[in-house]
Amino acid sequence: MNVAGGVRPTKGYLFELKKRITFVEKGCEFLKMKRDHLARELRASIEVLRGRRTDIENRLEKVYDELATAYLSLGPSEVKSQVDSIKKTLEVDVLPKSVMGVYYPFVKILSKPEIEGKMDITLYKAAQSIFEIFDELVSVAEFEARVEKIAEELGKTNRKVNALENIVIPSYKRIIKYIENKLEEEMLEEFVRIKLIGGVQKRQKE
Amino acid sequence: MRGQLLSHEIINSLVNAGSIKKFLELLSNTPYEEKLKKLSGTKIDAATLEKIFYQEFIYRLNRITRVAPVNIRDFFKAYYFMKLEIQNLKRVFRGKFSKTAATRIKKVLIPTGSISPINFDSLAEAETLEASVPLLKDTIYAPITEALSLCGTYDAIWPIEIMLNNIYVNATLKALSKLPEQNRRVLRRIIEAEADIENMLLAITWRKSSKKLPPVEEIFKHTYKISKEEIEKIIASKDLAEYLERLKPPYAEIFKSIISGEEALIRTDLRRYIYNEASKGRVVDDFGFTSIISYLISCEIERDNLISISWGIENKIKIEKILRHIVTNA
Repeated sequence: MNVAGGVRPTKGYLFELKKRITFVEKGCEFLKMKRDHLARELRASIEVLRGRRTDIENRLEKVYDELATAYLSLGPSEVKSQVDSIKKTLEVDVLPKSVMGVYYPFVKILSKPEIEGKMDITLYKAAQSIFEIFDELVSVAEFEARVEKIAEELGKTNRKVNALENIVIPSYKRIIKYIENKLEEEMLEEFVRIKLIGGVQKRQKE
Repeated sequence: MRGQLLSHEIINSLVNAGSIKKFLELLSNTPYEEKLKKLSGTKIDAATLEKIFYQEFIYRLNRITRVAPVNIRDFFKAYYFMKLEIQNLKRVFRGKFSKTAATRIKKVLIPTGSISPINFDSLAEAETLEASVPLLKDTIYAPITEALSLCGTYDAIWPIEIMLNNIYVNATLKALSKLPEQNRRVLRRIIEAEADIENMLLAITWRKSSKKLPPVEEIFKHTYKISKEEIEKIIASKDLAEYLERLKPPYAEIFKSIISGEEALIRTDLRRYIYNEASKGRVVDDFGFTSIISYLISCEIERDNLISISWGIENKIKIEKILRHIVTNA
């Protein structure tokens, strides 16, 4: 904000500005609290996510191994054909959930395919292993999306706090200082004028 | 004929190829060269190669069947041609059952060519499963229409698959009965082992099913060393390992991998058993029928080996893992 241009150096405007800056400073404090809470939440979530990802990656490795075994045993065309015989597919619903005003996706599994007794024993074992970790996989994916959203929100909040602390509030303070200085100058001028006029009037009377 | 089979050294170098490009280079110095030449310019992956390996197997099978005496030709038609037909039928019906697009069904079919009079494309293009099954009414597979209602009851395709297996075993045993006695022994052991193992695998899969299943005697029509009563015990058993440990050879050997949690090795061990039985037959008579059967079984195993190796290389599977799933004479 240009200090000189567009500023009314009046007591009324000064009062309004002081009210505004108090409001902005309070808002900045709340945003800082939100930022600190999000940062704590993010730190804790990253630690948890690291552990869960390592665990799921290890289990996925075992699942891929079993799937590879099925392919080696039956051949790719037979595997594809047996998989195609499964009627029902996975049905999910993605709903929004929120924490501290941060929205992230929540996956609700509506139905899973029925695979019991429907394929070769090798392929069934691999499919069963996939479904055993499937819920955990979806949960980890949700958690990752949540962490991403928290990180995004943390970034936005941080930018707002920085903008308020480094630009908006100092700008307001400069304007307030300018107006106060201006008003003081005018008061001094008025005082000097009164004194001068008073002196002249006194000399005239004498 | 045996000269066309890939040696153990060539199989080993294929397993160690490291890339599909190197695999194809090595394969182009073998009898597969002619088939590979026809693919030049097209994208070659494991799925394409699988079809090539089936085509070469069918070519070798045809060459022998054409010049064989009538009873032996009929046996080969039942044991081999029908096996391939049934594989295709199962793939078509699985796709129709789950309403898969015809183009997708056709992609996984074996290129049977002239060895089968069945029009698999028409079956795949039928509107529904119920519309495709009657298209087989003038063939040996006509009875599978009776299994359609069971497919609806259990919401599964296995009733049709089991019926196809039963038709296959019936036809094979009927053709086998027309062969001379000395030629039947080895083949009977192989056919019975294959039927018993398919029954066992189905029974083990059904152990995990929560649905009420039909009576065992209705489904398992052909049982040999493993009787219907034993199959019922398997389905009902709480400790499968305890039961499997009491099996007699060759089943104890073949099913030991279930106990160790490696179910996939059952098929590899079955192939190994068949290969060994056929090789024993050759020892007795290296010029006659058993030698021809041994050659054809070796061709079949070579085909399956190459399918596993090409897929394994394409997907960067470890060499040790690929080697566990192939059968060689080393």
